[in-house]
Amino acid sequence: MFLQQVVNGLSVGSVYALIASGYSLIYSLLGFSNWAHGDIAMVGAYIALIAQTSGHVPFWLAVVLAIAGAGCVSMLSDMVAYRRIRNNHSPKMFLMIAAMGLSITLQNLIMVTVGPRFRTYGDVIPVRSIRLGGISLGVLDLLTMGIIVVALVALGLLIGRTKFGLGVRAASSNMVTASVLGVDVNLYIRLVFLLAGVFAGMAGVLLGLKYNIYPTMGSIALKAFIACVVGGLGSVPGAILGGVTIGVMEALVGGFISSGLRDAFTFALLIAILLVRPSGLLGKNIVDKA
Amino acid sequence: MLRVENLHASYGGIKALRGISLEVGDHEFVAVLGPNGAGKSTLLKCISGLHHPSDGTISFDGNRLSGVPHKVVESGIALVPEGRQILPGLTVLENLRVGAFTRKDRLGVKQDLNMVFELFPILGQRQTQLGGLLSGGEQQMLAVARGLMSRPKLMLLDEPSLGLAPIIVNQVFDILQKINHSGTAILIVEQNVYKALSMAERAYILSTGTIEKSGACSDLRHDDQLVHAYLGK
Ligand SMILES: Nc1ncnc2c1ncn2[C@@H]1O[C@H](COP(=O)(O)OP(=O)(O)OP(=O)(O)O)[C@@H](O)[C@H]1O
Ligand SMILES: [Mg+2]
Repeated sequence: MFLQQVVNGLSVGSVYALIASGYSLIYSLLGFSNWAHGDIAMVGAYIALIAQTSGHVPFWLAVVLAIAGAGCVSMLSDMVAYRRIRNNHSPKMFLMIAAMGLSITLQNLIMVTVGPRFRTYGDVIPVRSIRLGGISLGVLDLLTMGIIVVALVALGLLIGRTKFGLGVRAASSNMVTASVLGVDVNLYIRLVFLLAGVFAGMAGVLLGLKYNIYPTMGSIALKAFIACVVGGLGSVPGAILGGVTIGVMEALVGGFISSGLRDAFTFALLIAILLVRPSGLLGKNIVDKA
Repeated sequence: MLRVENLHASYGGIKALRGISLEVGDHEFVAVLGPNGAGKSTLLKCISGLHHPSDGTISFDGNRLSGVPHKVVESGIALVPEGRQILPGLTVLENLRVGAFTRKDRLGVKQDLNMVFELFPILGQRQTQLGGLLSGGEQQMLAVARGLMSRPKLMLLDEPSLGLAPIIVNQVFDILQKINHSGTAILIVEQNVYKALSMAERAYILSTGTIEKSGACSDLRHDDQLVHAYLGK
């Protein structure tokens, strides 16, 4: 029973981690909380739904379209909403407010065009599960965890080992210095939004497969935000650790205490971290956000 | 090579530069001297695209500079900024690689890494250490080395001697002279007047946003009145 809950928690936590890693990348670069990030995941889920139901394309193609679409919407959100504010030397708060506005806009857009009803993709993934030493593993959960592990390892290699990653780390360490050293920071910001959007799109489809698709499903980003703070704001490994921690904790609280108290425990963890270790589990000092 | 004409710059209502003109020739070593707040850093920021002038032109090798920082680097100008600005969470090697960011010749970058490690042996020993953990002097060496990594035709340096012990200042200046002799032009902003006047060929004296005087360093060095009036003794 305990192990079963841990496994369930890992599956949800890996989705939190996927959203949180993109969220954290944007935070580390621009220092603001992108409240629209969860809604990018929602848009991804809907793109797959529309491609599947109206476009009648095979599901794998719907997923590809969802991921690409979410990446593009994310990148466009920077070009349309954030870029001017950034280059204006405005306070970071303005970026956060713009993100809130964008979040509401995306939700309303979907409500008006697709409708507020809960939707599903139908039976695209078999609901079978595999039994392994007393634990039952859903095919979807296994698939979710497998895909996310691959995605996060790829992200780690991209940020840690490539020239692209070096540019991102330089820009998140000091945007002005990176620019005088030859990093095209506007381009890099756009690419990071694209990457974060691609991850959000993946998460959106995975959430849609496990639960439902609805206009406010992006509010899961709140959990991703808490995951980032718990793990250390702006640290990608921290975001992943935070996401997995919260996922497992929620599953255990839901399974052994009461599912009504899940969120209460999550916020209690957030407050405890803020009191005991404000820089988060893997947070570095405030000076260097890389 | 570099030609600045009638440059004006301001921050909001504060005028920092009021129509200055200056030139740096091929392979030249030129200093800009002046008291705090004279506008020296503003001049370098305008050249490197970090601040947009309100009037005037800046051209390099006959072309107007774009005012976009990474393009300025691509055109052959490197800035070693005020306060070194080492990227603290990146290693020494990574800092150097960011310095070579605009380059596509992998082999050349490798050679230049070896070149800077020869020039600054301490950096070679500290390759994997985080930049933020270096001492002030080591950070200044890294800042200069990082500037070299773009293989610039012109290097802009903003007060490289600030906060360094005299012996380290001498080391840094010796290296700058070596760099200059190997063909890179240098435009240096300094408060260490005597050191700068003894190293550079020509100098401009900047005061409250205007150029008060310019000439060969050998002449300026003996201009007691000037040294007294603008730079303090
Ligand atoms: N970001 C800024 N915002 C407002 N005013 C500024 C800014 N940067 C510089 N200034 C003002 O512009 C003027 C020139 O500043 P600048 O930094 O160019 O001087 P400097 O010659 O480099 O001085 P120092 O030797 O102290 O470095 C000063 O009066 C300064 O107060
Ligand atoms: Mg200055």
